[in-house]
Amino acid sequence: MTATLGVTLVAYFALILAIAIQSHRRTRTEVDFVAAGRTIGPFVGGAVLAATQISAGTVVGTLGRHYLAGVSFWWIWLGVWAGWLVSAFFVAPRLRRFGALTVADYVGARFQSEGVRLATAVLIIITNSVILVAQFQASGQIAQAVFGMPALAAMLAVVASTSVYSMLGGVRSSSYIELVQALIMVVGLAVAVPVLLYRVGGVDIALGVLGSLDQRLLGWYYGPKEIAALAISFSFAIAVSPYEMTRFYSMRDERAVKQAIGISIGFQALIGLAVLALGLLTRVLFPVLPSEDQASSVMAFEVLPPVVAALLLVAMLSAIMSTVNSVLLVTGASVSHDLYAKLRPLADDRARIRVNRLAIAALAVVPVLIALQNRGNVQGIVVLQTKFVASFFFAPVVIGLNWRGGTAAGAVAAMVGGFAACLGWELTGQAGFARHGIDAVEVGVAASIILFVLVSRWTRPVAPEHLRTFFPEQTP
Amino acid sequence: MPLALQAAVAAASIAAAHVDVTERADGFDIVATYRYATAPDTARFTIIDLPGSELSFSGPIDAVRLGAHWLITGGGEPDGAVRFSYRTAHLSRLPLPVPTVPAASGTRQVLIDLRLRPGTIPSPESFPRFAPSAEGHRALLANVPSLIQLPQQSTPWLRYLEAAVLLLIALAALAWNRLRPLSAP
Repeated sequence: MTATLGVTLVAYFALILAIAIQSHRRTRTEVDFVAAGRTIGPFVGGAVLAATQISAGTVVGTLGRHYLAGVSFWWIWLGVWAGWLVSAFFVAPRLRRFGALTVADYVGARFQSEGVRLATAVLIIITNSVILVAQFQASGQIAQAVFGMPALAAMLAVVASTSVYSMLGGVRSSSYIELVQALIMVVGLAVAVPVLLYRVGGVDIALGVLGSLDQRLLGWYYGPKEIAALAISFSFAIAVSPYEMTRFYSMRDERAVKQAIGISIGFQALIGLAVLALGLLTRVLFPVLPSEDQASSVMAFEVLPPVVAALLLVAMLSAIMSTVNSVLLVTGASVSHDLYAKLRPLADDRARIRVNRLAIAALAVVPVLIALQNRGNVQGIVVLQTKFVASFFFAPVVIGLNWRGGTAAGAVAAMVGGFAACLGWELTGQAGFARHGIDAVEVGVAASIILFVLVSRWTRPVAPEHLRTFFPEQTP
Repeated sequence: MPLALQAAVAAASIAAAHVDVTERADGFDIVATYRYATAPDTARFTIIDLPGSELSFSGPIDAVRLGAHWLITGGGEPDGAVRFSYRTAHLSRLPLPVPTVPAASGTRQVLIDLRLRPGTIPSPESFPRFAPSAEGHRALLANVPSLIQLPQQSTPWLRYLEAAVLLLIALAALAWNRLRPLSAP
């Protein structure tokens, strides 16, 4: 088993290194590095969006959540897909048409304000660091459960390998690598389901045992309000997730973006169903584990035949690496393009790419240190990050892209107010899904929308000639 | 951490587990020994009730059937271990007692010894994976599984599945080579 896994891992790393080196040769300008020269088509784009969306939060966290809580957690996918549809119709085409390189680019230009651009860049760096903590913690859990190796070694291995291919080829290499990763994830997860069913003895036995162990596993473990809060968190955050939005910029045109989102939802549906089945079947085979985050790696290593197990472990690693990669690229771009380029406007493309690469390496270290402290479970950390992204970003991006009345002051008030409201609700004893009927994400998003509209009404509007770029159909 | 996302944190844990499975003409004898890191007043175990298993228990325990599983409760012995045995019918899936507290994280201290009738060996498709040992065959795991599976007939589809996966990867690599130039600028 260990030999099969070793060979599979070596083959996998050799493949992604080859793609990264080939992409490196074709990367000459900042647009090449940050947006793959705007050449990505719908199929590769859809796989990239799915691979970026399917993170450790899915293959470790969500599978673990199904292991712990059963079927009801599946409903949050509806929130995820609602977020993608909002993105497809109201966000992605407009962003792609604008043709920026980073999300802060768009926000700064839309509201004609460097202050808004700066606030966006800083908030993106903070929230992206949180999502990296979840990815590194998951890699530590897998390494501990499968190899018995220290978590730090696993985290450093993920940082090193991901940083290398992020730094070498930028978005071009990561796009093609993520296509490979998405295919591995779908095949690995889908193939594992019949094997586990065979081990358990069939669907009837599995359902009987699950219902007998805890009836909530097949019914409602979480209440409707908790599911609603989770779905809203994911929905609003997906619609405006900076590391997903950046992928739109690398696609060929608006049509490719819309098709890619549809293909991505197809990939996610397959993966979501497989993860649900695997979480439940692992609960039947191993009813008690030290942590639900270990369910996926225990299932792969102990239950599956060697090749399938190795493939699935590589898929988990792929999920972690693809998200770490996307987050590092966005965060690096925030530093080089939104901060460094403003301080040094005369810096050329080579200098910006160099700063971007240095930022990627530097920004990977802090989340590793936090992840080592093992604060909370993987899915909990992911949900916390989505709440903050939704709270500070949903109103300025979704409403700002579709309502010409939004102003710079309104955007700043929405971002800072939404973030503070969400944080305040979490820190003042209101934490928890709907313990009082209202969740932090609902408070954060509501505060952000209200502040955006009210402050925009009372402050100086953006000049009409400036808005023509964003609302050509509404500008006289 | 949000309340509803908190995982159950177990106070106690299993330091080591040893399950001895011996095949007879009409079924299997199973002796289970669990050593706790911190011995609880009452140890609890779950055994899933597989169709046709016809379990009969012996030892200082109470066994209660709850739907599709048995709940076993018993006190610990002076050495901190809990030990009991039971018999099952001759099946391809044998249920094992799973303690309600987890095994200690990061160690592989769950031993399953399997003694089949002379001249027989477990199928390569068995779960968990058994390796030959002085006692017969042995599996070493990090956590206690709810069952062991001893297929009585060969199940080549698992090997076919692995071959199919490798074939799929090879085809994907070929397709990748053909399609990649189409998406290039």
